[in-house]
Amino acid sequence: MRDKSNAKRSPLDLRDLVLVALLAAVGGVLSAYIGYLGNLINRLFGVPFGAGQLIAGLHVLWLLLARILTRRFGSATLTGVTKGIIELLSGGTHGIVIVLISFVEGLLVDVGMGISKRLSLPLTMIVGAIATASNVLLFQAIYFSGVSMWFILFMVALSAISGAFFGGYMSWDIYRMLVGSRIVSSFRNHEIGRSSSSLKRCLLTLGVALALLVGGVYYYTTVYDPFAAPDKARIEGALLAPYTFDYTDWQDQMVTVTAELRGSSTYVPPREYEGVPFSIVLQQARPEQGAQSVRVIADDGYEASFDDLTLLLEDQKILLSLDKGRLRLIAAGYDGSYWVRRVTRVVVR
Amino acid sequence: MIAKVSYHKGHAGLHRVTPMANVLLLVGFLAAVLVSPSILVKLGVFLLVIGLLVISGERVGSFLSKTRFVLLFGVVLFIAQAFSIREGNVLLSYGLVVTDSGLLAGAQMAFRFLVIFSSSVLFVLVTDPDRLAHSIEQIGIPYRYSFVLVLSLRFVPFFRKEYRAVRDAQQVRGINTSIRGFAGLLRSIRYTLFPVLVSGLTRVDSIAISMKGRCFGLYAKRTIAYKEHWQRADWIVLFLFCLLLATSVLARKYAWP
Repeated sequence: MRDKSNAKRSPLDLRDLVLVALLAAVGGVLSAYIGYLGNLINRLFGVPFGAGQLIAGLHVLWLLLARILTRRFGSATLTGVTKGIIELLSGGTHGIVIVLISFVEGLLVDVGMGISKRLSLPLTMIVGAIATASNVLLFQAIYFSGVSMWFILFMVALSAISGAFFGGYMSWDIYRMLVGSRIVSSFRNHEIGRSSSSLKRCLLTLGVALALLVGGVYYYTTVYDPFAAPDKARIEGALLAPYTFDYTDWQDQMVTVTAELRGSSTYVPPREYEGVPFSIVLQQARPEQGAQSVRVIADDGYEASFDDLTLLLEDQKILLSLDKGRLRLIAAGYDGSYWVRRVTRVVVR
Repeated sequence: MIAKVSYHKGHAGLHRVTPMANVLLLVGFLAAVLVSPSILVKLGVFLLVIGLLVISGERVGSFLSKTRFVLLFGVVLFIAQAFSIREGNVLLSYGLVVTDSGLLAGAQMAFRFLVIFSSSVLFVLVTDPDRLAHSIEQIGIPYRYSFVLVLSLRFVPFFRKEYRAVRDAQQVRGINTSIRGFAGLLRSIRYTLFPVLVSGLTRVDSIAISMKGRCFGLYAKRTIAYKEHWQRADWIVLFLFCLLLATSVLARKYAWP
């Protein structure tokens, strides 16, 4: 019953679209029930929140079912976005964030399930685990940026287990039940089976994809700072008076030094640099007793680490200067790798 | 349980704005709290949301009472951040360490959550889901896909009814759905999700055939029964959106407190 008119332009036919709408509606409506189950589990464990992640996989169940039943790339993403909007419009407790989370979960399901044409339980469980775990990482990026990484990893593990079982295993189980009862006999049938070599490829690919995803989320949420003030840097860490260094406030402290940049690939012959002595900048923040080292961090995550704070406090040749409107560390006498452009943070440890 | 908020018809403030303008405003609120590190900007945006609630004829007291349990989560976020961050001047050290940086970060996160949640509630209260679903088509998304949302919204009351019927049927048959362990959890899920899902799946074919019979998807474009027109209120919202974006970028660039 594939409609021919727009079918060539669309990867999803009419029945697929109806199925997607239906699963999104079921997912949106039953999210209230899943929230209720989460509250019961929290009460069971005696914690205010967190244990609900044990059933987080149920949110991914609908996306996996959409992908398995339609066998079309994009069906899980479309289901996710629609489910998220339904939850938002139903007054869900996550607000607009749920649309983003459902979209990412759907996308991961589409990509993960697209690895193999053969439907297998291990693949479904792995994809369910990864898609479900992504919700913790997104919540961490939005609301819990300062929380311990170990706690986040624990929650990721919890939701991944839930995703593997309540997402992956249950969608597999429901699919088999639907096929067995001939409810979905008219849908495209899968070649169901397991292949050890394809499983290894799946695991490897998904492992790399997960590593890239985690790395990307970590970089863009905790390291990369595209909107950082150009002539300011946060001086923080083991300090009695952390503050924000503003280059314009230090005009009367300017000095000029002559320095030569010797990098592994760059060489700049000796020339004069003007800036604020780094030692004064650090002294202003009053390092705590026992503080030993200093990290100078740029907005793209590049950093130089100085191991001897005492030496830095005495060195008058290291400057924080302004280069093309951005702060730059001029580390005279040090290797080129210690010269840091676009400085946004200085952390004393 | 948390009281649900939902759209109701109104004629004041943002009720007069097109759904897409409301989407734009919501994006502006999100950008303001996610891009700007300034606590003053976040506080200002939160007050703006409350102000818009009042202008749109919503009662702030009702909003606060309906969402008090969710707002409590903001307090949990504040505490979690305050105890997690050790950098900065130590204000309290009694087993747990509280620093000024921790308190500031806690306030940042709590306000971020409050703004995201309250602006989402404002959006839900003033945006007609049906008009929103139809508006998506007008911004260039192919109607085959935008219709999924329309169709999904049509299914929602049906599945709510089905879900209620399943729960009632469980009670009538004396099925114990309380959770006292993993087996109980599984039983509860199996007895609730499966019947609702199956009742929906059996209707897929008939709905698809019915739509096909009405020539859905025959043409690349379809006629629209009601077209949204931008009016003065929409331009004001667009101005607010630009203002929010500019403020958040400036706050970031010049490290506003």
